[in-house]
Amino acid sequence: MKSELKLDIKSNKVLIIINLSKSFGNNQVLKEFNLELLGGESVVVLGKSGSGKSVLIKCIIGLIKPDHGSIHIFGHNIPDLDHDELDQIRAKVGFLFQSNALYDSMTVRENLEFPLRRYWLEISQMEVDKMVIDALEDVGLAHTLDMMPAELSGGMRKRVALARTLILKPEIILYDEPTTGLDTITSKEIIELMVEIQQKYKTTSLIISHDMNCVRMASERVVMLIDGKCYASGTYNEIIQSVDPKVKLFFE
Amino acid sequence: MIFAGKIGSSIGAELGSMKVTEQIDAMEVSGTNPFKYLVATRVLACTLMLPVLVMLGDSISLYGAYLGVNIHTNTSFILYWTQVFDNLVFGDVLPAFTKSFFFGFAVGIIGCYKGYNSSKGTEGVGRSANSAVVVSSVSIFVIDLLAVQVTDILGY
Ligand SMILES: Nc1ncnc2c1ncn2[C@@H]1O[C@H](COP(=O)(O)OP(=O)(O)OP(=O)(O)O)[C@@H](O)[C@H]1O
Ligand SMILES: [Mg+2]
Repeated sequence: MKSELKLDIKSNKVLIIINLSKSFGNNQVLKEFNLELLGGESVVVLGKSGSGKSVLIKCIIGLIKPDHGSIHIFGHNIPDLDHDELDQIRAKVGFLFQSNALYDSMTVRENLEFPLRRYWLEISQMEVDKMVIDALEDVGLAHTLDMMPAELSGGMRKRVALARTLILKPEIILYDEPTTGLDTITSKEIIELMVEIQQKYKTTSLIISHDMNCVRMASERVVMLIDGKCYASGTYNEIIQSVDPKVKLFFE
Repeated sequence: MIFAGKIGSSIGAELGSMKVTEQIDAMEVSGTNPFKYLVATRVLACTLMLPVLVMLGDSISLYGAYLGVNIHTNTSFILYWTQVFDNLVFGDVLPAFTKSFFFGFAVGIIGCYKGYNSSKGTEGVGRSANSAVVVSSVSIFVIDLLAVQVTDILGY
């Protein structure tokens, strides 16, 4: 474990997925999926609906246990970790849920305070308030502090969810379809916000999407998830020029 | 039974919808044990509050009975209550009171279980709320049955 950790720092690989497989009954969703993520990089995983993108990202954060394969984050293999160790990794890895997953019985402020619960002995209420305000300002929604999630529009909810993810200043952010269900203009705003945050905090981003705008604007590298595998990868320009029929389908 | 219907279904539906909208997963990711945070609190609340509710219900019904008696005869309020407490024996109250803890616990835990394990989609929420009511009502019958046996054995 130790030597591996050193290696990762040297090569700057923050996330390494090797031969990840997962099936639900007879439905094999991921088949030996491989992926590596460098620190500060922004990678988009592109795949059609039902191809197992959400399953992949939930395996990374430890919500789904894979059948085979390893997922190393900062040198720790996620499926091997116990609850406390996993929790420490999760504090450094932000997750933006496809459905936002805002707690709808809580106000925006309480939603943002929730991830800070794990430090409630260490930080004062004043610091908490400051962190909440800062995170909301980052997404441009400081005025919604005491509103309920139900009172917000879809785009605003996405921003609040993003603020909740940002509040712990994660080193890696996993975005599960950040623009699904939003109109083109709002999607663009969200993507711009993601790029801005990426540059401001030097985070590593893994973005799952089938939105072409998102791929074009936010990706330094694109990975195609087809048939449960990492089918092709390259920059946006390389991918759109691909002659492979399965890849071409996405760009018609 | 009414408690089972009202509380069981609301817990089932609440946790069910939190499950399908990934709020429970989100808690897990934010380092809060959703089981402790959501389930333990609700089960505890049900277990402790149902007995209180039962006592409240009993007092109201006794007071109602007093009003009924008062219509026909002119019994004084104090006389009625001394009569009531004289006639109530320990064996009437204690088993009923103890039982209500178990009822509360059962309703709480079943509601939570059904909600927590509800299947994907909005109809999963409806189904878990519905089955929470059915299962907790049945379990109340079963617990009551057992409770009668136990009080019999203990000789109350
Ligand atoms: N908990 C689960 N139990 C059983 N099957 C599941 C489960 N989660 C996902 N699946 C299956 O895995 C497959 C991939 O699902 P997933 O949610 O990852 O798709 P996706 O690529 O995220 O699609 P979308 O773009 O619609 O979000 C689907 O066929 C789905 O039925
Ligand atoms: Mg998905």
